[in-house]
Amino acid sequence: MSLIVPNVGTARVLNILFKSNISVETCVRLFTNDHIPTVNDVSTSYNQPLGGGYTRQSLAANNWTINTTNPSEIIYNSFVEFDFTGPIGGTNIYGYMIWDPQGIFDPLLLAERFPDDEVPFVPENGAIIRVKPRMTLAYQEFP
Amino acid sequence: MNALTTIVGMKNILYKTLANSLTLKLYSNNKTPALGDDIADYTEVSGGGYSEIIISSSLINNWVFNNSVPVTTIYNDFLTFNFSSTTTIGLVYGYYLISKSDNISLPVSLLCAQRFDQVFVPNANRFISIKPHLAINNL
Repeated sequence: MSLIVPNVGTARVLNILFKSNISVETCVRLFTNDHIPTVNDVSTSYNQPLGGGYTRQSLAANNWTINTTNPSEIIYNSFVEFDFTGPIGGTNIYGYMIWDPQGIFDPLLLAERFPDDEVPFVPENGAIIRVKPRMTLAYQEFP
Repeated sequence: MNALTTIVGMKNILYKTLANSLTLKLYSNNKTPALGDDIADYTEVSGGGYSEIIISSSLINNWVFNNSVPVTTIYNDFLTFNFSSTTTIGLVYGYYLISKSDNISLPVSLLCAQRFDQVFVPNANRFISIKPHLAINNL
């Protein structure tokens, strides 16, 4: 009979990931290459902005809400905001990533390309990008 | 376009979970695991020489991860429950894995469960060997 990872199990792994990073918190980063995310991506699959006031944004461990459903979903309780003071060295923004700096295999956890009608995003002084991070995980029957 | 969790991301997620203490237990109620289950749905075996098996965080390197979707991990050794007689309750229907948290304030949680293909009748000198495994997927 198949192994079951119940909803509380998938919620559990999300809880441990996002709510237990005591020393180093997960963070959101933007990417500048014209890339469509795939499951085989790693952190070096993406280029990050330089200049223009860009800085990565940390995700506080106590600011997540988890839904114990199938799929289990964890959602950040507020928007993460990137404020620009100017262009970013001739490059544009295509999407965002969530990183775990303590990731044992690679820092990259997740990536999302912005909708087609919003890319490429061209930063300028006063421009803002808001992202609401979330992640879903589903039960998977053991193959 | 949806947020896509990568393979390395899912491996990291499982790694962090397994790097906390786990407890492998057998259950004695006639239960088929379901997605809505929680710990209280399982009755732990008692008596007959049974004792739970702790998989400490120091054993994290015993878990082997694949590199494709779905992401799976398998403990690279069998864990064995030895019996000295019949248990108080009688029969063993399957096993379940409990996740503890070593350095964070999260309650103990059910991680996974599996019913055996055949009900096991404990007797002196009988044993059950299990190779724990897990699988998750992105959406």
